[in-house]
Amino acid sequence: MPTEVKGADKLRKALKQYEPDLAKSTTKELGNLLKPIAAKARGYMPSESPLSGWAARSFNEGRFPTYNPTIAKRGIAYKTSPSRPNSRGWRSLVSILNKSAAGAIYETAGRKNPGGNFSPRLGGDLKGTGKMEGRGIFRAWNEDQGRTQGAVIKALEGAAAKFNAKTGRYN
Amino acid sequence: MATNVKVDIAAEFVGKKAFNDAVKSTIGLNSQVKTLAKSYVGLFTVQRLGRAGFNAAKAFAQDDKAARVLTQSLDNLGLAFADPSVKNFIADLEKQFGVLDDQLRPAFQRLLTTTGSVTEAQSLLKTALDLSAASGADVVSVAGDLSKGYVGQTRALAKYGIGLTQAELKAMSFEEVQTRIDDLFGGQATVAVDTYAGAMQRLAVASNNAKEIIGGGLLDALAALGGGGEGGLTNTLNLIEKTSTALATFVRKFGVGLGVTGKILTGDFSGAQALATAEKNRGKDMSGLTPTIKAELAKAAAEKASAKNRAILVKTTKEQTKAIKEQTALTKAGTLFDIQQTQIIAALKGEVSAEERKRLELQLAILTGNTIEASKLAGEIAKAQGLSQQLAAYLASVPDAKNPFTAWKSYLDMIESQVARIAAGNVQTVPTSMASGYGVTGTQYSLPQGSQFTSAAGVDVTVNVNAGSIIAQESLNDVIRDSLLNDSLQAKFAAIFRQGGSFGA
Repeated sequence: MPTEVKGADKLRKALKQYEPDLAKSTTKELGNLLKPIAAKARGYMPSESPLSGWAARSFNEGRFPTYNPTIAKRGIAYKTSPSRPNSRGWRSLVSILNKSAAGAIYETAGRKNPGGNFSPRLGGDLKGTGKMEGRGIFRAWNEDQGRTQGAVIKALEGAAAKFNAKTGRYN
Repeated sequence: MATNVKVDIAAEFVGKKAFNDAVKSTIGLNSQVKTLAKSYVGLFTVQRLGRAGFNAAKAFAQDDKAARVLTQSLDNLGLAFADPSVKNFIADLEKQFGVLDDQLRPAFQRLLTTTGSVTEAQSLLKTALDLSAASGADVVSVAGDLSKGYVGQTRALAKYGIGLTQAELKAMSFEEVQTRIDDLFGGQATVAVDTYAGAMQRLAVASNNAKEIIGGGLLDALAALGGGGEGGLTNTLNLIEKTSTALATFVRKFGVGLGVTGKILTGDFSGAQALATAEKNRGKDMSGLTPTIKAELAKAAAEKASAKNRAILVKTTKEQTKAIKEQTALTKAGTLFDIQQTQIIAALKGEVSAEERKRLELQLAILTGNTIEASKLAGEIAKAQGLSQQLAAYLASVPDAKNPFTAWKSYLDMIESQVARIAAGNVQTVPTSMASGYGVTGTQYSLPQGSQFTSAAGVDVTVNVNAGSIIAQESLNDVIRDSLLNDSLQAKFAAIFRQGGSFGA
């Protein structure tokens, strides 16, 4: 579950307005925290199609996405800019994504039936719980055990504190 | 293709959806309450009564305003004493002709401001009522046209079909036009009152008056509710506002409560919590920033807007400057063909003195608008003029030169004395007679022998020539010519008779 951070968007705007250097350094710091998780998750993506029939081929037989390891690995990324609010009114501030269709399939296939057909054939380890269970980013996130999450929140709080200190105002 | 597979590390609740849900729930509840309320006859009746009361109060307020405006107009024209009589006049006309005072007052006011006389305005209002009844136009418009006619703009009156051309309308005085209108349409208003339409109008007048009376009473009652006096109505209105706000808050909270209950019943606990949180945080600042930073942000936004405006202003100024420069360049280019400038330039090319050159250059600078050069040249010319003045002063101080004609005077004096001497008769004796022989001998001329000289009114001389027999002038000519020829031919021929064309001894 994400940690709720109040006023993060306002903070981001304030940083951009008054302390652009601090804004840049905060973004860089967040990137440095998220980069190892993303790299680890990329490492969990197979280098060739785990299923022979899922591999890319010279002719297109349908619209189902084939597995291209390059695209699947490239699809794993992190994001530090806020997203649009979802239907429940939540705006994501920092996230790790598995953007490619084939990568998402590999990530989540067999979650509802861990012992079914997909799990042994696709390989990899399904780690995590509920909607946070997967073979790529969820696995890397699960293995991180919340250290990065804490560091991210700490970085955001640190940025707010630095900003308040620099502008000479305290809550 | 974007997927929804992601790990959210940090998130912020912005509540847009929750607020929308709350608003929808409130609106839904509102409409339900309205439907419910309308289903009750009692409530429905109260609503109608409330509406009627509001309309009555509104009618009273409008009538009161119109009456006050007319009173003020009378006061401004110095006719305040006529206010009661005017009110009675309007009330009488209203009852008599079934025309609402809402129309009579503006019409009368218009006529009053034009004529400046209560009597004339009353007379014209009656004419206007007749004309209005005959034409179907409202009395305010007719009064407006009559007002225009009163000041000479009779054009608008032609449309009422009074049987006069534009030329006739212009030629006639307004009194004549009014007489004509009265002759044609007099009594129309009285007749109209007796018709069914007139009866309906009178009924409407009575109804409207009743409404105004009730409205006045209602406003008085509201004022009394607020304690009476000047601030009574204000107090009541404040009370109503507070009550309305409280009622609105109650309805909204009731709606949110229903919404939360609904979500709990459907198992959507997070939605219920969001709805409740949204209501709880309603009006509160959830940005998490200190007020000072918020103020700074607002200030920054204002500065940004100000900078944008300044940039636009600078851009506009630059464009204007550019346009002016271009215009100046065009003007300068156009001056190349200016005759005056051409003349000056031509003169400058010729041989002129230094001062004249500067004057020409100054004229050229003034013509081309080169102020810097013009002021510089003007200074130089002023300086040169100063030098000229010094030179003039010096010349004035130089002594007079010697007159070269001074000696002439002695000569002229001598000539004058000689003339005076001659005039005084101190001259040599003029010849008075001719002596014998030719030529001048002494002071006398010698005339040939036999010549006579007479001096009377003129000189008549008879000369006798001893050269043969000469009778006529031609003979004298022949003798002289022959004598000259003979003398000229004497060397070669001793005797040549030239006249005869032969030689002889």
